[in-house]
Amino acid sequence: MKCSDVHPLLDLLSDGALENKDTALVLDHLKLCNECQSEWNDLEQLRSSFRDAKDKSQLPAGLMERISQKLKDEERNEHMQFFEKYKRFFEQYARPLSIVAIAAAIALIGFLFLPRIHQINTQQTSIQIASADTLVDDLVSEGTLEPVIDRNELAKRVGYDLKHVQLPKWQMNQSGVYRSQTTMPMARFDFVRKSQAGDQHLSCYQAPQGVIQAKVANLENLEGKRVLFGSHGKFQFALWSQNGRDYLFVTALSKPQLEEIVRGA
Amino acid sequence: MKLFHNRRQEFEKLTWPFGRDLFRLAHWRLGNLQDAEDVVQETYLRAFRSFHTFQSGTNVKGWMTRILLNVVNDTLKKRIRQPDLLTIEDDCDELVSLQDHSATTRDPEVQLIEREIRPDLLDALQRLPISLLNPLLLRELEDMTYAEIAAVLGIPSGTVMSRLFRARRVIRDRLTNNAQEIVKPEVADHEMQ
Repeated sequence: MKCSDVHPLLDLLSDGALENKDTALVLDHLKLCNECQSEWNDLEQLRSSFRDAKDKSQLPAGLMERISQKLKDEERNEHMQFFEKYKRFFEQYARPLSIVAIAAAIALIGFLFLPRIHQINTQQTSIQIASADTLVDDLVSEGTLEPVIDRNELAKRVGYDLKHVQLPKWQMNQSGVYRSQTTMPMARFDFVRKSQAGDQHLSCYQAPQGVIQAKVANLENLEGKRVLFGSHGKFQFALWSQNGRDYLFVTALSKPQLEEIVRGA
Repeated sequence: MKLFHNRRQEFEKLTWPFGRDLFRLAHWRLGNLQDAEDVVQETYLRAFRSFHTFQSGTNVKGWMTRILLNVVNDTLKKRIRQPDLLTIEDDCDELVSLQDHSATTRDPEVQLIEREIRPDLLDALQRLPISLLNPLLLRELEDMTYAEIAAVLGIPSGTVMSRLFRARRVIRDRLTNNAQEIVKPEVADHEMQ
């Protein structure tokens, strides 16, 4: 290996960046060449001078503490700038934002309540007059009564509270929601009473006052009640209003028997 | 608030171990204790402001050193604009890193450096161009590898090797009283940008 080849490699050797194979060659050359050995010694001496100087170097007392304080100040400034920016934004946009907020609130209220108003209107328009004759016919029609045993649940389904009537000798057979495409849902109670001739049946519709009407009927005053009596097919019916409710009693019994029932109800 | 607080704590945890290295490099580049302190403070401040750009897991010391060398260059440029404070050669490549020897022998701070380093070595370093001085200081003072030096200075590793070789050759020649102006002006000193 020539000296001119070795000289550039001495730096790499000193920096530990020379490959093992080349390192061996250079070290072998150094053993034999005084000139290159002298070069190597100068290089090592220079590096030693740097190392000595480096080890003497000291960080000024309190420098890092001063830097830390500066960083804290910088951090505080960042906070201030952040809040100032937020404050300016708020001041600039507070008025328009408040107007937008009010408009949004109105829109939200409208969104929440309009469907309900619409529903109420729909409900009101859906209340149609129920004919007593139809209700009598539907007593024997399949699928017009949706059985509901619990009274509270029944009231919830029909949408109005249910009033009590006095029928001491009758036993309720079933109760439920009468549904028809032509009128609002209404409560219906079917009663049964034992007699020597066999079971007697009575069905009672209860609806808000004014819903049930009878076209052909005779008005009679019965114990202070203004009752319309009529018949449809084999059934007798009695229709009257009481406590804000329409009551339609339907039975296959005779009219006097129906009068007796209504009188006690 | 906690977010900011944690950010500063994380920054200090990562960068504090390199305070002494950064100060030493600044001191050797500027030859003035007060300037070195100012540069290190400015370096930490700039690094903190751009901490959001630092990629976690990368070389913190390299990142801080790169910022410090930029701050040092800014400081030296200010000196150029203020010639009363220091005589600087017009040629940028000849911009010396340490204060001119004749102007600073009275400066106690330089005397401090002289106590740390052999005067003849200091004299040789003072006349070394920045393009050679930076790789030499990063290697000898900061123990950086060729690759780390290349990353900090933004030059190829091969260039780092050749500049180290030339820098050491210049220093050794001057130390042996054989100083010849072998440093050619073709050295592109783009680290001064």
